[in-house]
Amino acid sequence: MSNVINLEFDKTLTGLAGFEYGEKVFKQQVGNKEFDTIVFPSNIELVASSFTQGFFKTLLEKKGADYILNHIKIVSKNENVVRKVRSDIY
Amino acid sequence: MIFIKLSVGIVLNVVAVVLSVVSLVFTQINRRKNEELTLQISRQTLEAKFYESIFEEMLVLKIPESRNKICIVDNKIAHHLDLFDIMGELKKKSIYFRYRNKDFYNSLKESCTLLEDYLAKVNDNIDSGVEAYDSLGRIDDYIQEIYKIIFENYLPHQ
Repeated sequence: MSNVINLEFDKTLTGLAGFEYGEKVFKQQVGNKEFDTIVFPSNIELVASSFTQGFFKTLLEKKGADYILNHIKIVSKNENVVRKVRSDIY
Repeated sequence: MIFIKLSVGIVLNVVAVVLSVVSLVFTQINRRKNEELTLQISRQTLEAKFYESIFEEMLVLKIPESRNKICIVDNKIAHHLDLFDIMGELKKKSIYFRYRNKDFYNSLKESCTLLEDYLAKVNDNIDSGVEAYDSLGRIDDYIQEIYKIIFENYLPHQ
């Protein structure tokens, strides 16, 4: 069974950036929930590596990049978002 | 007379020995200096190869070409995805320096992050054509800073 986290942001936003902001979003919207899918809303077109690394900081420290890339699915209507987020998990 | 000849002979022998020792010492010093110089040149050559493999294509082709694609469409910045991606790629490629020269790595990473973050949010913060044109200037400033950091760190190694 898949546990999906649908991320929510201000509808006017098109880009996400900032390590601390990424950490904050993870704490607020994921916290201790188990998940295997992260869905970015369609209004998000660009995700900076600083956001991705802040968002996945805890998981990177606990389980490493390979685990995240092999077990967590990144979903977005924008292919660039999926490609970029995956390439910034290291 | 014989005593004087003997003394002169001894002095000459001593002088010869001293000169030999001095010559030997200078030879050793020179040899060590040459070895150090050779080692230094080898290190610089190796370092230059790393710089070239990491930065050459980025600085000469990718960054200028991706910057040239950026333009203004309907008062918004357009075609900035390539430069945005390249900043993430440059950070990733520079990881070698995290272990070799941490200060340089940190300042380069910070500058790439500033531009990448700026590009991610640029259209969320633009409300007019004037702001869009200002943004092009900001992008160029960020790029110049990245080149400056890389060249200031690279040139001392030449």
